[in-house]
Amino acid sequence: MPPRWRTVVCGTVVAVAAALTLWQLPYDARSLHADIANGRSQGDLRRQLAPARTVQITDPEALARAAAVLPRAARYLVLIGPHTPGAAPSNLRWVPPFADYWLLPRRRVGTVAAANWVLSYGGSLASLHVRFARIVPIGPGIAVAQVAR
Amino acid sequence: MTRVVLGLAALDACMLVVGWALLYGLGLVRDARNGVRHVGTALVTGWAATGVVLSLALALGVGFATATIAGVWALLAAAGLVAARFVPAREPARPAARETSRPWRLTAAAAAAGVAVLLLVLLVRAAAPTGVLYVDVWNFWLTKAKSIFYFHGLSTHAGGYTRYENPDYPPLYPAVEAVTYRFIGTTDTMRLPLEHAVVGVGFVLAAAALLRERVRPALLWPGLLLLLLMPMFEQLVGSLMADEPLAILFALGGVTGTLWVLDRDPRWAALAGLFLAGATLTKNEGLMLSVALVIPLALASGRIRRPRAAVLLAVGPPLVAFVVWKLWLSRHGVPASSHYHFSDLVHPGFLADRIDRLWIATGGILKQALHPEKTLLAIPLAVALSAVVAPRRTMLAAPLAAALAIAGYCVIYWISPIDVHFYLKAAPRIVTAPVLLCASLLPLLLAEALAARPASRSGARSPSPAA
Repeated sequence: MPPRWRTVVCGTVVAVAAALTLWQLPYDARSLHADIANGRSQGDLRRQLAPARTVQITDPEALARAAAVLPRAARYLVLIGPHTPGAAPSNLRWVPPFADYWLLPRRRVGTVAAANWVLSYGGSLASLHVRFARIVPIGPGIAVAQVAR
Repeated sequence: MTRVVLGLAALDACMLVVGWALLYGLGLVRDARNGVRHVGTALVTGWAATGVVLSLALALGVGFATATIAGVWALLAAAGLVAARFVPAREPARPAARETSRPWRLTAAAAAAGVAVLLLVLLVRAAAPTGVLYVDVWNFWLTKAKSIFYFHGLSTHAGGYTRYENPDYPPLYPAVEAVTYRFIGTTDTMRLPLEHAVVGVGFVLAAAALLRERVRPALLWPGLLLLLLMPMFEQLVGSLMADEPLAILFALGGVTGTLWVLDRDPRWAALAGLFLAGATLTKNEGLMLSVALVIPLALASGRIRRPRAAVLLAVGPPLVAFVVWKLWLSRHGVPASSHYHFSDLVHPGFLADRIDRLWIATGGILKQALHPEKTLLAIPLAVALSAVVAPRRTMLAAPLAAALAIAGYCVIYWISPIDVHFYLKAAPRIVTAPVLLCASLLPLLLAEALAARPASRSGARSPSPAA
């Protein structure tokens, strides 16, 4: 490339980069400040449960309460259904993976036969046709039940 | 909170020491002054090496425990010390460029101050994150990390590593997060962004240290300031997506790979090999990105003495990492979660039938990769400078790698049966790797483009062109 063209290209790149830097600086400052203010304005639990809200899980706090009931060695089944306010297939489908994320080291299993606990999120415990040693309500239409063995 | 901060400090101190040991072994850091200068390089080297060796150990059946982490670090430190007996100290290819005129010195100082402030702000922001907002983070990445932490490795039983979405994704990122959990004593996700920000800071400091020999301060610091101001980078750091370590590892591989072909020093090839092994073990497309980088580097290394040995240093680690992980998947019968097959590329009829997808994918990906606000034009600026340095093919390797990486994603979107518009939702994230590579190398590209000009007009003790 002729030296003149090289000068033009390098000069243009420097000018564009400098202009972008100066242009972006105030936006960046505002954005970072907003992020910091937003993060500090919320409590720990609310921030921890933020992912559940991004997929419209209606009562994420219920899963936090489930963690207090389920023993750490529990093997649990997640039962979902329409019997909780705001339940819809689009948000109910996220309950099992969010339970995985939130409730580990409790292990989610696929069948009631393999489970010693059931987390019912709007589901019907009676539909499982098993006896429960105890049922602990943790939200509207949401309960944790210990399977009787 | 004190426990968390102390735990993170201890973790980063350990990774820093391991990184220094490895750089000592490679002859890149042999005195205290160089050690301080390369604090960022040491941190990201220790972080990448921890991830790679721990992932391989887990894939070979070693359980995840404090003793395993300590063993990995002891092994890496010992490797560094042993290598130091055979590898001589590196003589700098040239003295670091310095500014001789006051305006350029002030420009460099102002930009360096800006970089320092932005790095500090990134750390402050990460200390109080708003929450995990990307579905993939909690849907499988961090759940896998918790699984490794609680069940002591790559379990395939209920709740185990393979029981979540994309079970065949490699384990580096979850394994490193599991190490963080171990050090902070909790699986509280809100504590992770701070560690990610520390690695992000390490990455920027590493880029500064690696490039300082070839780039004068008045180009280096404004270039890094541009990188830090790039919204794509700002959103990447602390996002907890695997794209974050993937992009950083790919960019580091590109920077060290470029130094290898410029300096003709195989030490850089070894570092590039480590970072690319890390990329390969982070996501499935990590191998594709590694290949996209190694091919142009290998082509550019033609004039290097004993190029095969150096190419082997760069290619060997990612290849070994890939094979070990594939063997683990095969032994445990884990099916591939990717819906595409590269073998479809040899079926012209199949490709022709879905040619529309290629145009849609290319348009969608390029729209993100060239997005002026999100990327601050990092790729177009790098391409423009590439035209200037084109006669020296050594400088073309990294921009070509970015182009190949983007082409690779376009091909995947072309041959996959999944709805292309669904795929394109991920486009803003997947382009971060090539964008970050170009942004990291912009100062070097500019310096090399200017290096051919008369030194008296540049206002600096300008380095002579290499290769």
